[in-house]
Amino acid sequence: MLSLIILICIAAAAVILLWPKEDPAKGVVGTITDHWDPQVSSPVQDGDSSEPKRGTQIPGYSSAAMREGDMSLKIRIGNPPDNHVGFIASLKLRDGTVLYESPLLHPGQGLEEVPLTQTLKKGTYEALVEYRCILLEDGKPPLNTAESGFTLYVN
Amino acid sequence: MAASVTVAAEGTKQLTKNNPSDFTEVKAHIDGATGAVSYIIEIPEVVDFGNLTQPDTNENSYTYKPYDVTAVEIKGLAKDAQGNVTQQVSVYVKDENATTTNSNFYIANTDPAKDYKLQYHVFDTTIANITETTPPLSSVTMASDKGYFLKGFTEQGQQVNGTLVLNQNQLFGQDLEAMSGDYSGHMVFYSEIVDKT
Repeated sequence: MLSLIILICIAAAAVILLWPKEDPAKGVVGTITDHWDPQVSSPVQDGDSSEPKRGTQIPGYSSAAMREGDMSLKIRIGNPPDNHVGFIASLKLRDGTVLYESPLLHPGQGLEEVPLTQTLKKGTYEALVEYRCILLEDGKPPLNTAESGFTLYVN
Repeated sequence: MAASVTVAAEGTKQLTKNNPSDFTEVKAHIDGATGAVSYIIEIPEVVDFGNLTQPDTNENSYTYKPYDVTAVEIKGLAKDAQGNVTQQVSVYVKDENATTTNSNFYIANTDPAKDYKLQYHVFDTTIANITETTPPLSSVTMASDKGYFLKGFTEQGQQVNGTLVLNQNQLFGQDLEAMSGDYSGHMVFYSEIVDKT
């Protein structure tokens, strides 16, 4: 009986030690977090802060990089917390290929890394994040749209 | 994450017997963390001309709506050896349905059974600077599918104070009941970091 217990413990230890460990980074791909911040310095607020904002803040990018064969891209896509509208964000190539589309992002929600619908061959691509803005009420009617272009390097 | 590096040498110079030495400036720029947010611009939420009025005559009857596009935050633009910024955040604007062959701006009846649309014009200046002869952005064909160039921002706080103008004489003599309803249109703002023009 004791030897059986010992055998079970050894087997359990072997399973725990030898089971393939999930890459913790992969756990965040496609994860939408609350309290997303564009991580730029806070804009200076001038004038009467009680006046209702009429504009929508749109993040923009210089570049992003990935390896050939990767099925995710590290890029900070999100809805700045000062906004009052929702975003549907799409990562695309300039030729229209859609690499990722987000669900509705409320102000303060965003992602650090997005899953891709396809990988890309080595090269330099013109890409963009399309931010479709929508009202967060009454059937969610669409508003003006923004596209943030950037260079995507695939190494 | 690998950073990208660009290096450029300025021009070409010739070394001769009379000019045996000269200098060549070599510049370099290293992009910051890729995938990070480099800038934030603020765009108008919606095109809204409110209630329109049918004029009694076919004279011009303009209604104006101001709009702003603002560089809320910009960081990491390249600079030369003298510290002058050599890049800009270029912002373009177009109608959501624009093509290079039809790039006018429109608002359309939101009732799909009513096929009416009204044209409006986009100016990159305030009402005070608009006259009968001031050309709107769409007075020329759109040069690229990015839209009409609006502004190149180089630092935080810069702004375009523009105006949307709709001539209500489009309603003159029209059947208002047939055209009645809500009209909406959407603009698409495209932005990117490029070398300064």
